[in-house]
Amino acid sequence: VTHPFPTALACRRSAAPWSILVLAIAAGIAMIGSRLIMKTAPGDALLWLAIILPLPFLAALIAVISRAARNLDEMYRRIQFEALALTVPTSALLLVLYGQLQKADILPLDDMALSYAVISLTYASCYFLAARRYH
Amino acid sequence: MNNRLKVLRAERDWSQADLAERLGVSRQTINAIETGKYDPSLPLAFKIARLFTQPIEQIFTDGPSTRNGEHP
Repeated sequence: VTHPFPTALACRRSAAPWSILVLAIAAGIAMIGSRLIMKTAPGDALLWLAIILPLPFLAALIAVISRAARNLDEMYRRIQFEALALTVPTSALLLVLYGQLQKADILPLDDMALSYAVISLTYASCYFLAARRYH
Repeated sequence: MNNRLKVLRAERDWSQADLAERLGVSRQTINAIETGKYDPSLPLAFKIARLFTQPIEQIFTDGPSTRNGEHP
């Protein structure tokens, strides 16, 4: 069997999912580490180090995700597009609701980390819904 | 849109994975096209036509999808 389009093989054997998972875990650990350093009331230099600590991991994560997205075939690109098209308005709605609940003192939490979780979970749900149409 | 992809593939005794490899897409994409859940782009449709050496209109026909991969 000849393979006129060898990129398909390369795409399927890509290590991207593992890279994404490893970098996401590393970014999460860096984020937690950064929070812990901030809690110790460090000096200026250490504080700035804590602030930028997660950024290299997040930048690497974005680069790996972008590369993986370019290797997707057309149906999976469509699924990603539909998932993101659903995620943006749904996350916005949920975050507006979160803000309203905060203003009304029903939700006392005041942590940006909750919005990261809301966006991630919304994306996962929207991806599941989009993918279900094609499987 | 309906298509004869499953029939053409069966005539050549190719699996979905074989066809996917030849077209540079995933096996899931081939399955979705065959079952009428996904309509391929024009470049992919032309690639399919070239692979099966048939005019594109003999593989893909207009009309509501049967959603079971069978040509009406």
